[in-house]
Amino acid sequence: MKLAWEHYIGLAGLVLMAAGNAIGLFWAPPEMMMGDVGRILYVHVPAAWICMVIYLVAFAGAVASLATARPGADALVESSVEVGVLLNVLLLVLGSIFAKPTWGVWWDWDPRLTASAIMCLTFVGVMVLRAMVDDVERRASWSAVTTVLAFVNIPVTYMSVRWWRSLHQVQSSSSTMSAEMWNVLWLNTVALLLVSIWFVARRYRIARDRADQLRAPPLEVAP
Amino acid sequence: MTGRPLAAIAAVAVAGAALAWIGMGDLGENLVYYWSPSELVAAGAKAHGATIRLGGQVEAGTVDWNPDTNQLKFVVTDGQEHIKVASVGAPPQMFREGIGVVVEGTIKDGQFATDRVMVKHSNEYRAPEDGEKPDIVTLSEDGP
Amino acid sequence: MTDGVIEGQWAYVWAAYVVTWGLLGGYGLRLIMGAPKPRPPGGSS
Repeated sequence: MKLAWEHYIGLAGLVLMAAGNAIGLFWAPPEMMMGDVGRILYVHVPAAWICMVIYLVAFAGAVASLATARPGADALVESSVEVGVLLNVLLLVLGSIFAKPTWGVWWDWDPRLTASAIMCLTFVGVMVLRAMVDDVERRASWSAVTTVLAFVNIPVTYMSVRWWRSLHQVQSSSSTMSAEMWNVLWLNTVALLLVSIWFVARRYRIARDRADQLRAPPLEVAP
Repeated sequence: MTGRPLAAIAAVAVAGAALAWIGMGDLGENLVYYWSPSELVAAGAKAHGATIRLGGQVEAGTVDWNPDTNQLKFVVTDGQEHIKVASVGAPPQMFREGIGVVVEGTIKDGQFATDRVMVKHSNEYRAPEDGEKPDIVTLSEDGP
Repeated sequence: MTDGVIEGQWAYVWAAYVVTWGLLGGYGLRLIMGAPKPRPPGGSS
């Protein structure tokens, strides 16, 4: 039996993530000011980056869905929005766990945190809309429009730490991080990207399958 | 089922316009997460009474932690103005002289009274050099 | 790991990594369970 292409990517992602997490936990050095708590960086930051990448895929799918009305584009919206929300929830939970020992609070309504929470709520809104609209064509166009609009907030969320005063620090770069930490961060980011590609691809197939069944219900077998 | 390229263009245009409005508009002026010590002083009486956030650096040599009364006193500065802060409870682990903080509270008796001290971490992540240990300061019994 | 660290630090670290594997692993399992079933022969393309 031949495996679908995404399984190779998913398997590679799983292995890389296990290795990258282990390296982040046990091999990477503790951070000078945060100590071991700094290791949360290696799961929190990849979640943020890949979450935004997957939302970008949803945006592209939504534009394509509006322009072409192809079922494949709509299935891409359905799958990438769901995976984006998954990573968004993970991002918020990890951020909260990171914030308590470092900032001293679980949460505060600073611009970055507020924008991230809005980002989660708006895409959950797209999912709820999809669940409520039964008509396939309406569901496709409505969720495409709302996805495009919800996407406005992604650049805002990314730039929020630069546009406004915030508790959250601005983005780190290779010049603000020790090389061994930066490399571990990238390893974990690539790993999560691969795992997320597997998520989107698998979820896409389920979405296509369901849509096909709606269009052409399976024949009932006569008794 | 036919596509509607115009609808796609319109949706992207609306999204782009909204983004430009947020990014270049004066939302930044209205969305102030914390006040600097200078702004707080300039605001004068306007800043009294309301719960506000003050952000700045913990001035060196001003930290006074009393574990018996659970009182923490320090000065927040932006290099121009200096605001005395009175806080209750132990501060976050990363609290130290020179670090950025955001405190939430009210102005009371000429001081900024707060029970919510938040530490700002920079975007720098540094590994300890050879022989160094993570530089974690605890405000233990004998003070920082 | 290192000495001189504050007690309880690792609890936050472990919580973060367990949440990560729990959430992603749970979703992955759900996807595997909900995988499209093979079509019966002769079904629509």
